[in-house]
Amino acid sequence: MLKTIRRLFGGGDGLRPGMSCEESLRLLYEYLDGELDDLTAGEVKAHFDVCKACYPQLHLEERFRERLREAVASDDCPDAVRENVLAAIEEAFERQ
Amino acid sequence: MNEDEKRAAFETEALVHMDAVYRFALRLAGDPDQANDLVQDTFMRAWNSWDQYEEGTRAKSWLFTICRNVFLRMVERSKRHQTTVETKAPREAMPSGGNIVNPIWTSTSQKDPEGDFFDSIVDEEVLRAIDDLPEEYRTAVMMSDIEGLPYAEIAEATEVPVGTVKSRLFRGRRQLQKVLYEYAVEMGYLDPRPTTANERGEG
Repeated sequence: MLKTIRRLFGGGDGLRPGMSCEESLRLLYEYLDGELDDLTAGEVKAHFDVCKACYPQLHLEERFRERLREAVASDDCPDAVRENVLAAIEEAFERQ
Repeated sequence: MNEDEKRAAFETEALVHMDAVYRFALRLAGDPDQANDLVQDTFMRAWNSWDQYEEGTRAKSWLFTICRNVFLRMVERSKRHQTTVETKAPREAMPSGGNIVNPIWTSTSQKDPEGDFFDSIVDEEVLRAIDDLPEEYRTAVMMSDIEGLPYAEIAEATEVPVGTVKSRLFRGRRQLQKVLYEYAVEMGYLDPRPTTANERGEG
């Protein structure tokens, strides 16, 4: 019965119609990277929204990226470097 | 375009990315002094080649391309061959379907299924893990995860096919997650023991 429902609806472990768990996880990085077309992205999102097995994996990847961004965020260009660059550009501009 | 227009365009299209270029340079070089030189060299080269830049298109990835090329030449010049060899990414094909489930998630799925342990790790450790990646992976991860560039721009900037970018991102991210997971276990933020039937509420 379960197999029949999955075959009919193409659903994953959550007994839903739509994209399978395997397909959604295969597209996970491309989904998070914004590389999918709207239709496919919508299907992936729909799967992660309701699949208890896959949602934590999406969340883990999001958490991981957030953490990377937070760690790197404090590395803004120091004022001294910025001033040096601007001075060098100014000098090159004056020469031309 | 006269010189004043050139300068105005350079300010609005290139100089606005100075923080991003600095972050990228710092992770490439792993050293603030070298990063400073890299940033300055990058923007001077960009200024001198501004006529070749097509206005309104991909200034950030163009600057990253220049920055990376300057860095690679810097490494060559200083004959840091050892470092270059150490940071070469292993030649491996993309994994097939068997690796779809993240092994870190498999290890943490019972006790920390959503990766809360990442929040316990201090910035220095996260940065160290990024810096320890092979250059190819580090560049891809910085360009994508930190700066949000699309695959096509990363491919163009690093002169490799999009498939290679995807492969480098996949491997770079998995390697980073593995290092951070091991650090979390070592520091006691995560319990590596498998969940027992009792803890799962069985029996």
